[in-house]
Amino acid sequence: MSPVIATVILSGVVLAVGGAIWSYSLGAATVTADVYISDTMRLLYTMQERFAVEHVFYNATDDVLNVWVYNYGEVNVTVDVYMNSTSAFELSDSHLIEAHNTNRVEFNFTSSPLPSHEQVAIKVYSRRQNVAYKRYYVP
Amino acid sequence: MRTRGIMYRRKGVSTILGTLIFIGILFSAVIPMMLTMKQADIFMEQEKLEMQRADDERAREVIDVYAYPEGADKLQVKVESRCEVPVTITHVWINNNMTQTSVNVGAMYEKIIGNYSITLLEGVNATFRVKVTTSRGNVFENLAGDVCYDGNDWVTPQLGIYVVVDSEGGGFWGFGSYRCTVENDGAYSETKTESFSFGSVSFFFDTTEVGPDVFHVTVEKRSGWFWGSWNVVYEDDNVEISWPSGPAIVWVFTT
Repeated sequence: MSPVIATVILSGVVLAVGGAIWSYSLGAATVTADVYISDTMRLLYTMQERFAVEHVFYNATDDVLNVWVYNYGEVNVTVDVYMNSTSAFELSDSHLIEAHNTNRVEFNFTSSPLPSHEQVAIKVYSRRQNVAYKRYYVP
Repeated sequence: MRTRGIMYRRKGVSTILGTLIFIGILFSAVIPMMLTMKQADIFMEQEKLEMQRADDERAREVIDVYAYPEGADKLQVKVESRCEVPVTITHVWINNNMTQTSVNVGAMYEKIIGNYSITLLEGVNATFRVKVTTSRGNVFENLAGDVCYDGNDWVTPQLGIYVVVDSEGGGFWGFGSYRCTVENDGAYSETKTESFSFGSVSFFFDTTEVGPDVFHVTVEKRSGWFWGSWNVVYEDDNVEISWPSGPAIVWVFTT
């Protein structure tokens, strides 16, 4: 085999393997950057999330505990609201609260009304794992 | 000799190609990826600082809320800012009813947010708990407590002046004594003293018996032990309790 042909073949192999590695690297770098940005944005949204329990009211007429959750942050929030007391434990889940909005969450206690002076702990968990608390006394 | 030289040069072609490919990968894949990641990090840091600043402003937010009757069927809500950041009121709560609003209150400024309709029934007691929510998520309640109606007229369990001296003691000994006097034109005069205070002190003057009136408030301070002299640190001739067309309890703040 002449040295010229050998060089051409070797160059061809280098170009083919190099091109394949280049192509793979481009794809891998793009995917890695996308995943990194996606993770960063997820972390950013978690950090930007701000919400609070604005008001709680137990309506003894229809035995409904109303919890107002205020999203004062810049991103929409999906929350699960828990209420704990010595006589009850309830969950109301998947409430989407848009940025700068207040949502009312209802707990129905028609079957077993909450007694007066009962201490109720309200916990609001967001799907991004942020938490807000409030304590309330049933009038 | 010539043939060998050409051969050596040809052997170098694949090395040069390999190097070019390596540099190509570096510039077209790795460096853009690193720049993108760096950009994301910078954005994250900026937002982190932004949120820290927002949280700091939230912690600094202090407002006094006063609610009092305005005519027969309205409550007037007034806000006094006591902080260095502007405040935006977003919600006004009267009992369990929320009214959305958007009122900006400048730093150290006071503003009447508005009149809010309420329902009063003759002969039926009613209590109104007023609070406001700010755009930073803080909730502030009416300083004077609930506004009460006894079925015939507006009532308050107490009229009074609450004097808060926000101090760190001070003076050579690190503590101070405070003497606060509230008086009006002869009908009422009361002096209260708080000795050897290292921090903030507060005085409450119950003026229920006198009724709505204009009062003169004086706060004096003496640094250190008994032999120091009293110095006037605050004086106001025009502290007015105008219940029911104003707050039942008036707060006076000084340092």
